[in-house]
Amino acid sequence: MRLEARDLSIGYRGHLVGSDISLSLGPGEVLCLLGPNGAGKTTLFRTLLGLQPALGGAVLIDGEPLARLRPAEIAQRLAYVPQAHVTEFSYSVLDVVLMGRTARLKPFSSPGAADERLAREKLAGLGIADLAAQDYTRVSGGQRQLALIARALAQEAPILVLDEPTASLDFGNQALVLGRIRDLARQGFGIVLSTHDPDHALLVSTRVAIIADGALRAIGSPDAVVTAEMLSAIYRTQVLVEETPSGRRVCVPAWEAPAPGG
Amino acid sequence: MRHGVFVLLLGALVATLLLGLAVGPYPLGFADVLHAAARAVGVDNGAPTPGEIVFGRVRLPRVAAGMLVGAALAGAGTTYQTLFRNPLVSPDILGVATGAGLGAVAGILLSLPVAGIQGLAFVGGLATVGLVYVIAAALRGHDRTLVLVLGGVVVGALAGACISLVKILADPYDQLPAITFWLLGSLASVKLADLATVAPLVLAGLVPLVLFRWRIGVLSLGDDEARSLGVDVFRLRALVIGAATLMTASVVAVSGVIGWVGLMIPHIARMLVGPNFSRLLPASMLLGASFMLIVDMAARSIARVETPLGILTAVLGAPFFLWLLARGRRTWG
Amino acid sequence: MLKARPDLIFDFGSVTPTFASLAARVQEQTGIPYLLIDGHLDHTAASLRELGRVLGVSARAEAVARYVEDTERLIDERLKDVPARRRVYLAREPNGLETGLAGSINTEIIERAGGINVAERGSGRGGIANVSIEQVLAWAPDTIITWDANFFASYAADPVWGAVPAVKAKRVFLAPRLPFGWIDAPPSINRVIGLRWIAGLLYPEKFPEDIRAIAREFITLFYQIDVSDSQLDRILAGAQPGGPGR
Repeated sequence: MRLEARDLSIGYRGHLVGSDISLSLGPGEVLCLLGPNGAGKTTLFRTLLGLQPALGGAVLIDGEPLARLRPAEIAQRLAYVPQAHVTEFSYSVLDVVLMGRTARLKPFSSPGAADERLAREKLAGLGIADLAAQDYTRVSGGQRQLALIARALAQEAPILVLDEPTASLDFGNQALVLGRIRDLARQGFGIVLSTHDPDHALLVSTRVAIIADGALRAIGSPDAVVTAEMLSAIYRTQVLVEETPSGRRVCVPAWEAPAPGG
Repeated sequence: MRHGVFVLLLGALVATLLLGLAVGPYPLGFADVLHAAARAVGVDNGAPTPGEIVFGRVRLPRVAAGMLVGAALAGAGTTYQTLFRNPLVSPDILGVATGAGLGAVAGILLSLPVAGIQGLAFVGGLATVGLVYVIAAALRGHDRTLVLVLGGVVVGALAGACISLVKILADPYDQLPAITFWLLGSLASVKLADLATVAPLVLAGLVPLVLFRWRIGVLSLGDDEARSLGVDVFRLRALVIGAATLMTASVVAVSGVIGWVGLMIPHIARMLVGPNFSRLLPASMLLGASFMLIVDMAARSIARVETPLGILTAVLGAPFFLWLLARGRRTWG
Repeated sequence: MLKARPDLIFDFGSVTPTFASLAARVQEQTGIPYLLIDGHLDHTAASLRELGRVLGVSARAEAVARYVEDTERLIDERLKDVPARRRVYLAREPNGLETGLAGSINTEIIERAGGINVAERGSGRGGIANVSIEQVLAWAPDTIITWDANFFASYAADPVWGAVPAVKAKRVFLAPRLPFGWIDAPPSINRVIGLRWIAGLLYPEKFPEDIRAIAREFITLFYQIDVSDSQLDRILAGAQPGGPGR
C-alpha cells in the first residue's frame, strides 16, 4: 500500500500555503514531517487525509486519486491519529477504540462482539488493555494518545497518519509512544508523522521531509536531511547535531558548554 | 447493568402511563374502560357513554400524545447535543420551535381553524431550519457547526421578533390570550386525528436516527475525526438535522412550545447510561415520555383550568439544572 | 396621539390603581384631559351619565342610561321566578376550549342574564382560561355560546363535543359580533343588547319578544342610525334565540 503526493499544492480557497510538494510512503516506512510551527504541516496533513481538497496536484493511494474515494474507502486505507485531546463527552476508552471500526461496518450497523474483541486486542497490543473500561477523559495524556493509536489500528488501515503524537506529553510518555510507533513500523505499517522535535525525527523515522515556509525544503534519510545547517536555517537559531557515545544523533542549541561544576 | 436500566425505564413509563390514564377531571369508572376496550375489538354495546368517549377519545389520545411529545423532544435534544458536541443545546437551537411558534401565532392572527394553525406551525418550523441551513451553506469556508448554530440564533431571534410583532397586532380580547397560551404549550386540545397525523411524522424522523445511531455517535468527535473514521459528515449531518427537525416540528405543531424537556432529559439519561448515542437515544426517549406524562398529569390536575406545560417543565427543570451544576461535574455524562 | 390633537382622551375599562396612575401620567405628559371610566356591566348606566356630564350632553346620556336601567330591571323582574338556572359554557377560539371564568368581565353578562357560568372561578385572578374537553364534559353545561365561526362550524362533527348535554339538546348558539361583540371582544356597550339576547336564549318562555325588534330599537337609540332589514340579517346571522340552536 503506497501513499503518494504528486506535485501537491495545498491551502485554502484564495490562500496558497504550499506548492510543489511530492513525497511517497510504503509499508514499513516512517516518514517524519519536520518543520517549525505555522510552516504548513497541518495543512499538508489535512490534505493528505482528504480532510480538505488539494489546490493542485493529487494525493494517491496505490495509484488511486483520493478525491475519487468516499470517506469510508479512505478510512479503510488511511487512519488518522490526531493529537490527544479531551472529548466533550465521557466515553470509555473501549468506546473510543470501537469508533475506529466504523469504516469496517455496514452503514446501519453497530459494532458487535467480534469488533469488541478486535478493539480489546489492539488495546492489549499497546499495553493498555486494562484501560478499556476507564473514562477516556480521565486517563493521562500519554494513555489517551495510545488509545487514539489503538483506534487507528482498529480501522485495520495499512497507513497511519499521526499529527504531533508527542505534543504535550511528558518525557516518559513520549518515549512510550515513540517506541510503539517504531514497533508498528516493524510490523509493516506505513507511518507518516509530524513533529516539531528533530530528536524524535532522528529516533524513529526512515525518511524525513523538511517543511518550512510552505515549501518542501528537503526529503531523504534522516542523516542526510537533519543536519546542523538545515536546522539552523529553518529554526533561525544556531543548532548543533552531535553523535552520542551510543551512536545516536541528537540536536542541541549551539551555546557554549557550561563550565565544569558551574 | 447494561439492560437493567432499560428495564427500569420501561417499567417507569408503563407505570406513569397507567397513572396518566387514571388521572383527569372527568370521573372515569372501570366500566368505561372495559366498554371502550370491548368496543375497540368490535363488540357493539349501543351508544357509547360519555365515560367511554372520554376514555377512548380524550384521555387515551392525550396520554399517547404526551408520550409522543416527550419522546420526540427528548430524542431531538439528544441528537442535537451529540451533533453539536454540546450538552447545553436544546432542540430549538436551529430555531424550529420558534419558527413553529411564529407559524401558529400567525394562524391564530388570521383566525384559521385548528388544522390551519397546526399546519402553519409545522411549515414554520421546517422553513426556519431550512433557512438556517441555506444560510450556513452560503457561508462557506467557516466552521460548519459554528455557522449552523449562529444561523440558528439569528433566525430564531428574527422569528421571535416577528412573534412579538404578531402579539402587538393581535386582538387583545380575542386572540392574544390564545397566542400566549399556545406559546406556553398544552395538550388539552389533542384529538385522535392529531395523533394520526403526528405519530407517523415522528416515526419517519426517528427511523434514520435509529438506523444511523452508531455513526451519529461518531459525529460527536468533530468533523475532521468523524470524516477520517469513514463517516460522510456532510450528508449524515443534513439527514440527522432533517430528521430531528421533522420530529420536533410535528410535535410542536400539536402541543405548542414546550421547553426544557429537550435540554434536561438527555442530561439525566446521560447520567444513567453514558454518552454512547446508541444507548442514549432510547434511554432519553423513554425518560422523556415518562416525564411529559407526569407533567401533563399535573397540568390537568392542579386546577380546574389547564396549566401550560411550558411553565411546569420550567418550574421543574430550572431548579434541577441548578442542582446539576452545583454538583460540579467537570465533564458531562 | 398628540398629533391628532384630541380634546379629550376617553378610556373605558378597568379602573384599578394601575390604570388610574397610567391615566394621570398620560394626562400630565400630554396636557389632554384623560377620562377613565369603569367598564363593568353593572356600572354601565352610571358610566353613561358620567360621560354625558363631561361631554355636556346630559339629556341624551339620561335617555340611554334609562334604557340600560330599564333593560336591567326588566331582566331582574322576569328572572325572579325562573325554576332552574341554565348552566352555560362560553366557548372561545376555534377549538372551543378557551373560556371566561365566572365573575370575570369577560362573562359577567352571562350571570347577569340569569345563567350560571360553569367555569367557576378557582384560585385564578384573570378572566380567560383554557380547559380540556374532559373538564367541559365534567361540567356538563346545557347551553353553549360562542362567537367563533370556526368552532361553530366544526363542533357538530366531533363525537366528543357530541357527548356534551348542550350539544345533545341542540343548544349551541353563535353570538352576534356586529358592530362589535355582544358579550366580549371587547366588553362594551353592546352587552346591553347582548343581555336581552342571552336572556332570550336561556329562558325563551320568559323573554318571548322578537330579538330583531329589540335589536333595531337598541341600535337606533345608541348608534343613532337607521338599520335596514338586510343589515339586521347580517348582524343576527346564525344567532337564533328562542328556537333550537344548530
